Amino acid sequence: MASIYINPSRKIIAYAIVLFYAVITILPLYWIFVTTFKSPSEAIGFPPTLIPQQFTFSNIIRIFTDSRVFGFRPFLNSLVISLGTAVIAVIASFLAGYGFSRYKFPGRDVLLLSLLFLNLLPLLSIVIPVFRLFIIYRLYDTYMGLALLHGFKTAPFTSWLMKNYIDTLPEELEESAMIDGCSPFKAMLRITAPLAAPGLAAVAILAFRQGWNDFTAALILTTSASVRPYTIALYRFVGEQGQVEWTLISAAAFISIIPVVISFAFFQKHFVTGLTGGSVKA
Amino acid sequence: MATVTLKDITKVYDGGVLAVDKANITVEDQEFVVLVGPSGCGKSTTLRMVAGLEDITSGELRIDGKLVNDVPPKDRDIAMVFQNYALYPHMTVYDNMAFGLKIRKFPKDQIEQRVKEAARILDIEELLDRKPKALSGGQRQRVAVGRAIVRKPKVFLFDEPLSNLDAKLRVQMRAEISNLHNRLQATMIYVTHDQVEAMTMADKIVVMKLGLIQQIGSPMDLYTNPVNKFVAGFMGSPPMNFLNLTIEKEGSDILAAEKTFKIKLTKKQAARLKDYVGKDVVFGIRPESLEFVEEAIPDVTINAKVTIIEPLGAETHIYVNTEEHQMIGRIEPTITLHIDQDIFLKPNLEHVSFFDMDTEEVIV
Repeated sequence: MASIYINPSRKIIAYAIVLFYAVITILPLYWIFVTTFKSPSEAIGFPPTLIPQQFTFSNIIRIFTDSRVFGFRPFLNSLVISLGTAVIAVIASFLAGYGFSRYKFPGRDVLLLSLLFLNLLPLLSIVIPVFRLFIIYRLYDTYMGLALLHGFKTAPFTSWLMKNYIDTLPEELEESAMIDGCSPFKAMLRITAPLAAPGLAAVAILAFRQGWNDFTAALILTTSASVRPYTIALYRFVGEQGQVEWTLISAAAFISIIPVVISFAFFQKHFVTGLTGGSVKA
Repeated sequence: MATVTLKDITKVYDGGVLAVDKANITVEDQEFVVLVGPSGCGKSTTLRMVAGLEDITSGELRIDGKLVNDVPPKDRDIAMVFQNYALYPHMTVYDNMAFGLKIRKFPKDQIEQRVKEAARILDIEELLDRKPKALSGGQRQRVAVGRAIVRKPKVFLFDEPLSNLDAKLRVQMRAEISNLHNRLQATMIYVTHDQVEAMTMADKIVVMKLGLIQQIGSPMDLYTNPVNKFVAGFMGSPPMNFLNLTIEKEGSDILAAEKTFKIKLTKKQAARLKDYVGKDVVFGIRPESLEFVEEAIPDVTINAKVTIIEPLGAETHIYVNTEEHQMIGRIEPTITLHIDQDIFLKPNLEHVSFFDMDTEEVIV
């Protein structure tokens, strides 16, 4: 491969810009990370320390154990809601994507476009009617309600994603399965679904993130501590203490990042192939 | 094993495109039938209708006498080999071959026995644990065939199965599929655009063009007695030469003439062409029916000039120009010629065809 010659001074400038960007992106994360392991007095001390002087786990332990401060429950709630969101989004977008990819029906293109439109709708614009509906269908203040809302907020985009992904899978595979003895539905389940796994993994991560990061919908659609996710707890925690306990809020924020990082690390390979639409031939 | 009957089978796609027009084909038990034609001729669509992957617009499709127009593919008891093999990428070779039997809930030991048997026949026993990704094109092809034969279906369908293989492998797999047919004594329908495959493999060839069946017959029948110019030109390699000649009458003789030569026709030909006197017809002659002769014979030989010489070892192909046409001849490799040489070719009138200029149907 021919290498492109770049002027060394320009290279240095380029690296400097990238480094600067990296620092301002990582710094807040770093701050959260170190503050999590600092004592309260060190956290507000000046000048701030780069490395905790008295390394302590007490903040994390307090977050998990002291339910008056935070407790384990908000994380559990978030986890249930996010996993529920992922399951709903995966099922809905696989079926929708499959239909859009494989069947040519009247109004198909219009429907596809309207999915994009749905995707553009701000959550706040629909949350009030959803609130009414949730009251009527008894979904208000339930895991199911939030998972459904986030699932269907994610599904329009991920349906597109799945449609494009399934487009790249040869239809002959299903035809072959049908000749081998499958019904069309069975061929979809036994052949297409496993092959669409990378796409579905990407969908699952996007949906999980949607559920995990949500604050607005949870604030409006839940009241009880047994359902409210950690984002709300975090917010209430700041408000009720009167003063902000930086070490505790850092610890909670730090813990909240972990599931997203883990899920991404776990599915990273699938996630990337999923987003690139199966351009890597099976 | 089984017969397949297509009666007035027609396929019209959404938007009104007529893909297959009233196809009538009978595939006898244990027969190897090849559907051949250029792309877009409807051969694949016809096969897919037999498979049940494509709805039949009108007509009757029967397998073993039973009407199957509305029977889903899984209940037609057929197997199909696809052009791109369509192996399930997430399954091993063994599972690919076993899939159809598993779906049909065959007992495990029977599945194993059948897969092993097929793997032995196709010489892919050592590949059973591999995924399709780790196979070469030829190996994938074998697995695809293996997946079909483990099922022991009534009818085998092949959709251009060799077109993704390189030339050498194609010749080898061609022979293997022919062997397989003899061994399994199965009914097979095979689609290809390659007339060589059709000629070498088929018991019966169906030539199609633009959704219409042109001719059905044995390979030699189609080769020697084509019903029209299309079939004549499609079958055979190098292809038949076509010359537009004028029919003339001299005394009691009927001749076909170009500017610089005339060919006196046989009695049979003369009788059929006497109505064409003064008109042009298409004279079709295969390269091997042109004989190289040393000297011109009036009213017999065609005089031409050599433009290209292609020695193939066993035979030599020569491209020659007459005053108005280009022709290909197939001559003995021992004959030495050079470019621009004027030569004389004597047509074997027993093996020529005349076609109507307008309808392109055979006259004689």
